[in-house]
Amino acid sequence: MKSKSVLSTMAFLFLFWGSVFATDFQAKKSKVVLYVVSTYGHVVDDAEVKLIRQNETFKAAWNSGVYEVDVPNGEFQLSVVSRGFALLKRHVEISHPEERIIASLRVGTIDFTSRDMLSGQISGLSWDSAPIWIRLVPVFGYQVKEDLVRKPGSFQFSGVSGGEYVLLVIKGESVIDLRRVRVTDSNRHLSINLPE
Amino acid sequence: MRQKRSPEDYLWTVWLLSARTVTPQHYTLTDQLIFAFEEATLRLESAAEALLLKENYSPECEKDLAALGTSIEKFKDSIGSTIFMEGTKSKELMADLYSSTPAAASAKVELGNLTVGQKFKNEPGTTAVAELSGNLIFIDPQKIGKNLQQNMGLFFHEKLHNLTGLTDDVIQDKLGLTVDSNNSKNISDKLVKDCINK
Repeated sequence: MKSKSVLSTMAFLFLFWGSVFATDFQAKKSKVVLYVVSTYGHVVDDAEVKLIRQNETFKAAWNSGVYEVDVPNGEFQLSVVSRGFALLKRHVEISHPEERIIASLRVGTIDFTSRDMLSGQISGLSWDSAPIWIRLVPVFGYQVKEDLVRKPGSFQFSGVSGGEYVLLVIKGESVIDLRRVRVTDSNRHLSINLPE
Repeated sequence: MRQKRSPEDYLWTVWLLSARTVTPQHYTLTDQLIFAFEEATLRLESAAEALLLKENYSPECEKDLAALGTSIEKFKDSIGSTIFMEGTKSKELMADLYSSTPAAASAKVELGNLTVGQKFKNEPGTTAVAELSGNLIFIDPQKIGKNLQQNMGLFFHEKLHNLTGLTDDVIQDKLGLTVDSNNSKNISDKLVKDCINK
């Protein structure tokens, strides 16, 4: 009876201290010091620096040349945004009482680009009053696209996915050229030479 | 070169466009390139005007702009100062388009002497390039189509660069889009959906 009581007391103590240690480990906080620099080596001082974990976001504050934030130990996604620079997002693990991280930013892009555009240039056209236009018919599909040819012979379509197409060059009411074209990621500009 | 165009300039453009339809064969290739730019500029100005005159923007649109740290009011206020430039012939340095941002020094190193014209030539999918935290929008006139809605999306997209100073991948991330700096059309598509169609 006595030994049973001793055993249950020991079990209680084991579970109690176990839970205390587990709680202590989870609650452990670290100070994260972030150095945000450009590829040129300059310190970037107006960045938005965040450590994100599930639904929690910890925003770092600028303090004498570095960004600082206190976070619980664990895994986070580091997000750094600054005007003119590309987005920096990367996985970080915080486990030391004072964690130091360097975030190097590179210049971002500012152009409107589209990979689903198809452009082309036609040479050998004779221009008179009749409009010249292009019809692009997919071999497998239904969506036909049309565009007027602009001087000096250019045309362009957006929303063209890769595949096989039949391309017709039409002047007034006559088809003056018809060809099969294959559109791929690396072939999005067509050069069409018509006989004079 | 960077002067805002006067009303007389627009009248001149309209005259040029109407003249072209009468006797197109009398114009040289250079004339035609100038016409193409003027025509493209008119199309984008129509898109800008439509965005300016639109009275009610959807809550989704307001949410998008708030995520980027701006608003409909700021966007509308910025429209009037826009300057369109012929991108394909431009000798302006790409790095200069970052000069109003903290990335200015890095841009000089990373982009070197690359001009806007070379950028258009090297990357055939490029339709427009915008100055960050500025007023300039460089375009490839041959790629500005007649679809008003698409042009509104394109103009809105480029003005966001002008207005916020944020790059494509940051805008994509903040709008919850797939981050792909090689294909930023999804920004315009999102703006068309949230700000123009609603």
